[in-house]
Amino acid sequence: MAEQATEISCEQCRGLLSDYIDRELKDEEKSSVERHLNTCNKCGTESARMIGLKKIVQHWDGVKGSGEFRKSVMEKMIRESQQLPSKQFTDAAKAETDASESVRAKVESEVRTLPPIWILLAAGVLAIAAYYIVIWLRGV
Amino acid sequence: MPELGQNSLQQPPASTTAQPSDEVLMERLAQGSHEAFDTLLARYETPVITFCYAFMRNREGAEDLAQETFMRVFRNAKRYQPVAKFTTWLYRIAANLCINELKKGKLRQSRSLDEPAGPDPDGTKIIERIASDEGSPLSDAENHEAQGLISKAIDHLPDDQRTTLIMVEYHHMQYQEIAEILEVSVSAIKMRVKRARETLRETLKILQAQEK
Repeated sequence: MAEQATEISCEQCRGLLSDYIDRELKDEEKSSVERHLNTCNKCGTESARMIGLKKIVQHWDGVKGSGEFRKSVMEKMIRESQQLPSKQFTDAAKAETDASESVRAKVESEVRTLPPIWILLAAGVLAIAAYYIVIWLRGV
Repeated sequence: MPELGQNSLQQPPASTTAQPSDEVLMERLAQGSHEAFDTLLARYETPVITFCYAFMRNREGAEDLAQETFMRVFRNAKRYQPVAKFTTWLYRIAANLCINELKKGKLRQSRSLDEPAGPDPDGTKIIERIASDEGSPLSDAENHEAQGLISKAIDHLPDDQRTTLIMVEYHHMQYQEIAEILEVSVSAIKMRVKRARETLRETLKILQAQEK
């Protein structure tokens, strides 16, 4: 279905030309630009210049990598992919070791916080002695 | 009056059905296929280096960042979800790397129009031939000359105009896709492209005057 073209001025047309040559206009705007270009020599010339400019930039080959680029990236990827499983294994093993270390350290720390056994024994003996002394004093 | 016909401008090459899509290659890569990675590399080597060059204006820096872009594609293959176009994801990675690099203030090179454009004084005539589609096809030497002149004119564009224009003309991206990659509005992209063309035209005029 043909879109209805609105009449536009030269200024409006120039404002839309860049979008027009990039095919970024809505159908209605595109029809308006084309209608204007068919009747205006100046804007037609401007459009042709802009299309020429677009062709110039599109003619650019871009920036090619050095001959070694692809090989170098592939080698890096392969190196990394070979390291990945072992790294994952190492990480898992490390995590396990860390966990064991952590548990052992915690137990050791708890053990370290306990008083030595002879102090406990002595305290027990003293407590029993004190008990009998109290009973003896009450009896006296 | 010139009309924007179907064949008036270069279009991106249509992909053949025999070639696996980018998304299929990414799926294979996620399963560990080195061949899939190599195919992606062959497909996007020059576009990604050119994309990075658009930001950096430095070939060596562009290659380094392109290499890192491909390595990130590899490392994130398992996490890749084809919700958006592969190229949008790919160039987004490249853009982030380039922007971060620029923030570090490295690899920047200012270009001056006073630098010699090349040995061929007829270079601008070649440019006119490209624009008008007239005359015989360019010889290898003429094409080489034209590439130098176009590169020089593109290099002279301000950063935001250069990156956007290259994405439009070289990568054949739609404004919407560029807006997503650069995280700016579509209207900002329109403005940048329009200004880039104005600047480029002026630059080519200056180059032309220098050649005479």
